[in-house]
Amino acid sequence: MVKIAGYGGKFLRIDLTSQKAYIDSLPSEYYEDYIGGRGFNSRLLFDLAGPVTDPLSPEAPLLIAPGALHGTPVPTASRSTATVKNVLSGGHGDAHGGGYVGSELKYAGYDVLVITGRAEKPTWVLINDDKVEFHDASELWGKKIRETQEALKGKFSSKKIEVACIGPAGENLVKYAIIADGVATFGRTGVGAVMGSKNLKAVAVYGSGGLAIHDPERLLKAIKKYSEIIKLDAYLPPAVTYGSPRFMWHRVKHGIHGACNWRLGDFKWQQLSPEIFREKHTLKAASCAMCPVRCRRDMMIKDGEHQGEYTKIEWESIARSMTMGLTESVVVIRVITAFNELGMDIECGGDAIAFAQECFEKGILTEEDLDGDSLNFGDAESILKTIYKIAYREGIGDLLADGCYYASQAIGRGSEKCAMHIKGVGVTAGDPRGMPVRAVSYATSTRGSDHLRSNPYVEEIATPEEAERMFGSKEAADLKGVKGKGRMLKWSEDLVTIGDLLGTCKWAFYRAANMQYLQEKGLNLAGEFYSAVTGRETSGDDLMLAAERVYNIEKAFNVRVGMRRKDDTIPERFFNEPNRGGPNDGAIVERDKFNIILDEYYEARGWDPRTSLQKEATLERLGLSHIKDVLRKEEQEKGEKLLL
Amino acid sequence: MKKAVAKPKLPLRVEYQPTPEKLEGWCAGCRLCEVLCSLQNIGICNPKASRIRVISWQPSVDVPVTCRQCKDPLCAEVCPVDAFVETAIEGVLRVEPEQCIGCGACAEACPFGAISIDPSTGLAGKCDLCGGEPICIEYCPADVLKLLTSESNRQEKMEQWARVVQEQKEKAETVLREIAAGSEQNG
Repeated sequence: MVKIAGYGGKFLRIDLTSQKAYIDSLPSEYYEDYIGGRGFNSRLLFDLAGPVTDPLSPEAPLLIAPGALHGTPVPTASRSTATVKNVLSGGHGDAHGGGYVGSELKYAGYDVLVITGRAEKPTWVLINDDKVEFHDASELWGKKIRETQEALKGKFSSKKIEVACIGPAGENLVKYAIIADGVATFGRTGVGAVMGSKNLKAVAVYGSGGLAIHDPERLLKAIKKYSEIIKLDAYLPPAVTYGSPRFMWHRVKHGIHGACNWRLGDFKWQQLSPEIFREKHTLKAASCAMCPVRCRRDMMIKDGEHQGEYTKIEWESIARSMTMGLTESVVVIRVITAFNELGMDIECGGDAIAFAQECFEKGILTEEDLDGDSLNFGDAESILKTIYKIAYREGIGDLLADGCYYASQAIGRGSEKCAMHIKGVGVTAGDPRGMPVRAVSYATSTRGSDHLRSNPYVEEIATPEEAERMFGSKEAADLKGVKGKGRMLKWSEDLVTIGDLLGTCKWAFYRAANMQYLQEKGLNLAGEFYSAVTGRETSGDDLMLAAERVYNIEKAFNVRVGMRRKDDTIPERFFNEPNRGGPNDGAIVERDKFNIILDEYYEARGWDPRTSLQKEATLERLGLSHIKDVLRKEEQEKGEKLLL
Repeated sequence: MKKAVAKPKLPLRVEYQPTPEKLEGWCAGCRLCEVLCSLQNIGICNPKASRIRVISWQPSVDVPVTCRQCKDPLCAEVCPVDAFVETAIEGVLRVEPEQCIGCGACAEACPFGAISIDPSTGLAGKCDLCGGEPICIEYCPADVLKLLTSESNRQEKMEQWARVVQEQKEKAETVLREIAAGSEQNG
């Protein structure tokens, strides 16, 4: 057992095939090198899975690791990482959630949970400190998320036990099924499908122990400092008032809705405004664990036929509703509720449905292909019906359950042009057209399309002087600029990775109104919190180095499964078809700019710009000789370069 | 600035005081109070040993629950070893860990479930207001915890209600005036 304040110290491995559990400890250098959370998981995935591992096979691992500070009072330290071999891309995959299973694991003494094997029949697992029990889940199988949570926890959640579970979508191996942790979710890359493939309905955790804090006084002082900053940082007050639906203003301002399958920059958004969601649907300002920002929102339909339906709403689920052409808040809440309760990621699910809608519009799919139904943009009832068909893999749903990429591969007939994915993972966030570094940032994400793997929005807040000082060019502070953007992207990928190592929030720590607050929170205070909790003096720069190390492990994993520069790209639509309407009308992603930024990015990372392969010296500099050795060994087996 | 509080005849306690008319006026369910309480009082982060707990249910309800500092406390009355001892604050008791035998009788007797049992030691814990400056109040991001007596709580509630009454009366008065004015015009 590793004894560092703030950590659980142990490592729990559960094998569902043999119904056995093993308690071990991680090598002590892991704590220094990878910090925790995503860091531990990415390192372990590299060893536990490889190029030939089928993500849905019994031997494929499901890893859950609380962030290093989860379970302590550090503001926003509520996040854990679930890691799998990406069901959609075949490469590195992970998902992050702000629930309580992670802290409960730490109170039980664990910094990482690894689940392998496959139970013979539906099973749920109870982790009760050192005891692990395997229970029959036949009666839970088929239940939706809320029913499953309530069946195991009861109506009142006062931290008796915490439950991570899947819904019907996970049971039916929908490739973008989620794992729900209370009302929070591990959303992306098919983590729920991996859990379903193991016949594992739920993991319930009870931990009776506590976490030591090395220097409580120093920690309390840092908490006060953080509270002061978030009062000054203009980025945060709208989050308290409106929650994440406030990002609508950003999309409207830049004309980057991506509505109707990423074609329209102007859209009927008025009935989905932050004010509508606040006034008509918000129950209160709620928060994830330890978070003073309070942007979590449960939204309810308060009148009409669907009165009383409610679910947790985040901005991205509103955005993907617009990708499916929806324009009205009540319908959006019904659609998000369906995704949440069936246990599917609305990012990939929304992209899959929008793909089918466009195929229907273009005649590539007909009513005959769609089980006798139509599927038009904005048609709520057909969208809802399709969501259910996907979760239960019925009719066209069986195809769409594999995501837009695999569906397009199966359909052919030009449908490939309508599949908006990167590395098989559905496109998220705002339309990148006209903002080349956003496009590159989606492309370089190690888990497939993603806007939370980096913070390219730095270009909106850096002054030209800061851009020059930090990224070598004033252009890095210009939305249309190119020079310095690759270095900025690399820096911001490492920066936000720190959040996933510590378990702090990407919004509350790794977005800010200006560079001063961003660095104060994301680097200085992050280091201060980690040092105060653990007693290991760690600076923001130390954390950046650990983050870079973790990013390189994930990249190496992707290299092993065959991903190269050609895969670090975006859907052709963004290069070829101009955005339609709004302030960004006519914009495309200019291919030459995209490539210049990507070149600079690879240079900054110490990777080969031609192939994107890592240089040996880069891995050596980061102390990743084990990773290097594995790549060299597989190089010989494959007869193909994996490392320069 | 702190308001002047007259020396209480009734014991002080930590009271949940939401501002229901504001969406931001409720306990947000962050549970920072639980972790800080345990850190302050038993030296580690363990919400289960916290003297304040947040009870939550869907959708979006979170209610902090802690000791009401009873005038005639059942916890102390049933304690077989007199582990409930006085603190410097009048009317506020705490559990003396050296004396507590972990029988749990106090936890069973408390009508509010406010006695914590530390799952690692089995010993009882009770809110002693952190010696007068409760850490939960100091750090609550939603600012919904207040140090009150039943009397000051009553006073505050009456003030709130009085404002509502006043508004209603003013409204009624306006309506009456408008009706009167209307009938004059019609006449």
